[in-house]
Order: sequence, then structure tokens, then C-alpha cells
Amino acid sequence: MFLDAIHRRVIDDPDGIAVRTQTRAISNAALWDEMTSLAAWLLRQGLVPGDVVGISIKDEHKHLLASLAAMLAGVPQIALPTHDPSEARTEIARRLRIAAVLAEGPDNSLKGFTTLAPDFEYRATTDDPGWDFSARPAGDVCLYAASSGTTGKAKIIPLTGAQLLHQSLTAHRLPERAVLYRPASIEFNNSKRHRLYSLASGGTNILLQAAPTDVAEICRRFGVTQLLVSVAQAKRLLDLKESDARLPEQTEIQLRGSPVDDEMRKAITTHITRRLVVGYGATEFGSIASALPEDHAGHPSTVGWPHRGVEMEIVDDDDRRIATGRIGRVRVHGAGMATHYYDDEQATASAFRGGWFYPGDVGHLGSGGDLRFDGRADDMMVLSSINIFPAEIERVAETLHGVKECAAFSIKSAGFGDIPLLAVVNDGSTTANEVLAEARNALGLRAPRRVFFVGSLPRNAEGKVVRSELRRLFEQRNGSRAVA
Amino acid sequence: MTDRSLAECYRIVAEAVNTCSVALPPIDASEVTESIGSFQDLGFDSLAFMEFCIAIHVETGMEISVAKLDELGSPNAVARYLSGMAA
Repeated sequence: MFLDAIHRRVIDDPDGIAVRTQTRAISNAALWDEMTSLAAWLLRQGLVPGDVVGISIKDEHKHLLASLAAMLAGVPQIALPTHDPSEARTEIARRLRIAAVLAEGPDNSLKGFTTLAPDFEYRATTDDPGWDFSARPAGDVCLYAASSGTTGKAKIIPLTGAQLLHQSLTAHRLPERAVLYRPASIEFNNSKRHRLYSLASGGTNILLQAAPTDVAEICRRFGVTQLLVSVAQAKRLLDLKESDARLPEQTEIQLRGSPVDDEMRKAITTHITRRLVVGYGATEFGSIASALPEDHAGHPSTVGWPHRGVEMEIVDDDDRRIATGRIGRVRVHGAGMATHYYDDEQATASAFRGGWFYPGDVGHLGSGGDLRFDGRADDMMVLSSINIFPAEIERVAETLHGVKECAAFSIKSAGFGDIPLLAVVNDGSTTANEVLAEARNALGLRAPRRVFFVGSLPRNAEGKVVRSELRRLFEQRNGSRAVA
Repeated sequence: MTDRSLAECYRIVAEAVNTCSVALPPIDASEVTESIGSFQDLGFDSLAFMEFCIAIHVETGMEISVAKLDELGSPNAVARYLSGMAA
């Protein structure tokens, strides 16, 4: 179903521009030709529909092509980002029993798995098969997305073509012919899905990596209508001179993934653009709600109203709906929603119940029916839009040499969100820097940025680690070194 | 602005550069003082800038923005900035 939407645009608007890179403008028809050729090449390598592939390709255009080609070949995919440590990529690859890693070179191969270096120059011939993608069962998974898990094990979210298409349709403000620019790597699954949404809704993707100083210029040069950035990226724009940060009139800025306070909304609308959209969503669901430019003044702190086709409720711990204004757990239902986590009954039972998805957020409804976000129900950290659960750091750290017990916590950064740190009770046989180095090797971007030793972990009466006390301890120790 | 010595700031900055994994082999404080080039010379990309800012924040408690790094241009200038000499 998802490919039907992309194919439709090839029929209706073959010369429309699907992708712009630094050097090329690629039409809908040309992109379709490229992806069909690469799909044929994938099958020529011995892959068969139903095999799962990992994609470890940093180049934006090539990754997108590999992703579309895999869908066309009926080969479900998962991104194995090149910036992730090989251990983390290998764990995902093993769990999904992938048939091959699509990678540009040996640097990103995984021990024990076949590596295929896609031939992007291959052109399909009459010997290659035709494509009957419309006949595929709607329940076939086309894409797996990996996300952090509260238990420390990554959650793997299977999405069918139908779910992906519904997510595209409800992705707010991606109207036909939108020109989308999201200056974050396609290897991040949310970035990738937005690029796919844009293709399915007839838009143009701008595939460029850029410094913050270039963002406004890129928006001008390419006629960007939708700029999707993280809160951290928006803060970097606000650090610039107004003349460098000010977006052209046609560009709307969309912020998702972290809370946006009233002060920041005012700063953005004053210095960057009046066209600010704040959104709320989840990898398991896609976009859930949005607050439009006209909504911010009357509803400070709102993350908006649910999109058409999305049901949203606030419930208590017994899943009973609670009154407007009272804080409870958020739950949502809609056609683009995943139904389970791959091979993880415990996480599935916790997040998918009675036809609802529970994102793990706490909130309340405003008097107008909009959602006010009040925080996470767990201790999740958000570092520059990367979700990190303490448990995933702790699970790895507990296996490291010299670590008797440990607890992850975070300190706040105005620019980047939550910076993960790790308190360790050690056995005297290792140094904090050695633990840190090993944790970095194992966790990559999800690693703690500092390890410090403590005599014991502070715990409450129930034995639960008091992370706020660890934060206080860290700041107390660092206080003598901090710059005023 | 700060009671941190310039030598201490060179050490902090050298460690922050090493954290970003762009310098192989690792650099030491004397290289920040004398021979190191700009962030561009070191091959800093957006992730490296983020890691550098975080490392400085965790070590000093000071928030330094990517835009400020861009303005300062090099690890040497950041060390002098941190020490208050070029603030």
C-alpha cells in the first residue's frame, strides 16, 4: 500500500521532483527507475521476499534508494546506523535474523553476517522480474524501527506498508508538493520515516547535511516549506545572529520529540519564524497531535490537538478515563499504530493494551481538548532527540570489568537536553575512565558521558535508586570545578 | 569570570577533543597550545561538535553553544575562552 502511493505520483507527476541533493534534482520517474533497478539487483544477489536486511549506509540518497528498493523487493529492512557500535548493530541483526547487511564498504560489515555492497549503477533488464507490489498482503512488514527500551533491550517496532501509509497521511503539514528538509541523518528512524512520508504525499525531500548557519540559506535556496528540527537544533538556530537564523516567509518550522516551553516558542516566533508547529508523536504511532502557529498564544505548553483519525485519552493507573485537567497516562489509537514489539512480549504487554498504544507519557487535557505534556512515566532521557533509558546503559555497564553495581542518571543541558552519566560502585580493579571507554565502545551515542565512583547507590525505602540524589552528588562534586 | 588556569583549560579541551573521536591518535594539552588547527582541520562534523560541547559542559558546568564554537574556530581559542582570557 505504501508503494502504491509512491507509484501513484510517478503516474500522475513523473517530472515532479522527488529528491534534491547538493548536485542533483531527481524526478519521481527517475527515482522509480533507480529503485526498481536496485530492487532487481537485490533479488539477483539471492535475497527472497521475506528476508530481512539491515541498512548501514550513511549517504542520504543511497540509503533512501536502498530502503525503497528493499520495500519493492518485498524485503523488510531495519536501519543499522553507521554511528552505532558494531555490538549494538550485531544484537539487532541477530534478533531479527537478518539475511544481509546492505553497506557501502567493509567498514560497516558485521561479523557473522553477509555484506552486500549495493550496485547503484545497475540498471534492470528484461530478464529482471516485474513488480506486483499491489498484490502483497497488507499485513506484511516492510520496515522495522529500533527504539530504546525501558528494560535495556532495544524495542523493535514492525510496521506494515499500510501502517506506514496511514502514518504518512496523518503526518500533519506534509501537504502535496511540500518541500521537506530535516537536517538529521536518514539513519535515525524518525528522520527516515519523515522522508518516506514526504515521498508518499507527493513532496520533495532535500537531502543535505548542513551546519546550523546554513539552514536558513538552504530553506531559501531550495524553497523549503517544512523544516523539521529537534528542540536542540532549534536552540542552535536561536544562538545565531537573527539575520542567519530568520527563515524565509514560506518556511514553517516543526518541532517534535521534546517538550517546547513557552519561552522557547516566543523566542522562535520572534527571531526565526511566526510559522511554528509543535508536535507530539511516537515511533510506534507516527504523528499524534500538533499545535499550529495560531494555537501557541492561547494555550501555552500545549502539544496540540489529535490529528484526524487519532483517538487520544488520559487514563488513570486502572485505565479509566479521567476528567479534563487531571494528570494521567496518555493513550492513543489509530490506523497507523504498530500493534506489538518484535519478539518482546513483556514490552508489548506494557505498551499495547486493549487496542490502545501507551507511549509512556504523562499528561492532561486542556479545556479545548488539546494535550498538555507533563513528562515521562519512566526515567527516560532525551539527548538531542535520542531517547535513552537508564536501564539500557545499566544493563551494559553491569557487565563491565570492575563494576559491582551502577545507576544511570542525567544532568540538564539547555542545548542538548539530558546528558547521561553513570554512578558506579566499583571493586577497586578499574578506573572510571576505563569503565567510560568500555561503555562508549558498547553504547555509542547512548553511552554515559562521565562515570563517577560512589561508595553506595542512594536508595529509597523500596530499594529503588534515587536518581535525583545522584544528580545532586555529581553537581556537588563538580561544583568546585564548575565555571561560574 | 573563572579561576581556571590556562594550562588547566588546555587539558580540558584536549580531553574534550579526544572524546569526539576525531583525533587519532589522541592529542594532549601541549598540542592544543601549539600545533592543533581549527575544528575544520580536525574533521569536526555536527556529532563531533555536540560531543565536544557536552564534554565541556560535564567537565566545567559551562554551557557552550555550537554557534560559539563556530565563532571561536579552534580548540586553542576555546581553551583561552574558558580561561577567561578571550571572553
